[in-house]
Amino acid sequence: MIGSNIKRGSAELAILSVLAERPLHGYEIARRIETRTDGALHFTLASIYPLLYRMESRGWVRAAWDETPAGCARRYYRLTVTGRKKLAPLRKEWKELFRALSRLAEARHA
Amino acid sequence: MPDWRSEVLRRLANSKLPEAERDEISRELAGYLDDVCADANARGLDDSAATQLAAAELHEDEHLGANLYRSRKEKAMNLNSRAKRFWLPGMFMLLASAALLAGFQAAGLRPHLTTLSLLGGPTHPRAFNWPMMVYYPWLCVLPFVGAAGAYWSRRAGGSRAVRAAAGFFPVIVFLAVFVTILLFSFVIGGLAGNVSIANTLAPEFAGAVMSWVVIPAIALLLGVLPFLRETDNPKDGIAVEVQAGVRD
Repeated sequence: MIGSNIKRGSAELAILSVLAERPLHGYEIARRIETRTDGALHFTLASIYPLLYRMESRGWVRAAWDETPAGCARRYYRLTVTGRKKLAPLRKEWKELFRALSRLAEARHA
Repeated sequence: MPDWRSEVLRRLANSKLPEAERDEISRELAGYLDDVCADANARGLDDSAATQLAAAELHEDEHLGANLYRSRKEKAMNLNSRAKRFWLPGMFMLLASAALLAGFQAAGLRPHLTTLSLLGGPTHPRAFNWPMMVYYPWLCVLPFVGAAGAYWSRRAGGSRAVRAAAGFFPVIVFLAVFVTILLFSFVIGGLAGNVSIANTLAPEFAGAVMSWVVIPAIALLLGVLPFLRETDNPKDGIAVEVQAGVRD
């Protein structure tokens, strides 16, 4: 299981990544991230909504009410142009971080 | 299944969220909790277990209302801090510099009128002659104006670039005004079929930029420079960070 600080830092990248594929509502975002990361990243109501609202305030995502295929009203989040621009450097930063950590771990075992 | 909307509204009752926002959030979170229950049912849990699972998520964070409020207000807080770090000190220094200039003029101090000649003396046929107007007393007080703007911005937590922009704000505005005038003169000259209007204005424009932008900028720089260094004073910048709700 990944520690809470790393989770918090990576949460924005995770949300932006799944929203880059298509608009999703809060629960779908949480479940999709959990499935994609084999449960390593687990979002709850209390963790995902403050993040989504913060990202909405920053203009990275935009939300609008729409109906699910079952006919229920849900607030769907979609990536804005700003959010899409933010995604590429975030991905790069995290790749660099993991590469650095990986090198560190390998050096320790060498 | 419980009425999640009422449950969420009860949970957010003590938050600072305005009623309209609270209403929308309760709708959204109730939908999320409905999905948690439906998913749990689909995985074979009975209604009671599914409800418990959803309720646990709702009650997981005792500061849920405060966190949601902070997240929703981040943009307003950012705008607020930008105003405190840049716009407020910048505008105040612009007003101060304009008031000081008006004061010196009212006191009867005359500007020093001169001509800056490039590529030869004033009578040289190929020289560029820029008429200039310099208020020495005004230039003498500008370092203090620049210092005050940069200091104010630093106290409010402004970065180096923001501190510099706040300190140089008066000349930034002057430059914007002169560029606008020049562009207008090009447009008017073009419409009138007389492009020489712009050519005629070019020496005046260059002189005005030197008199009101370049030289005052150097004076302001003298005051701004000491406040571009990073500070060890813990008081500087803390107030706005706290107000902006910056965490972690």
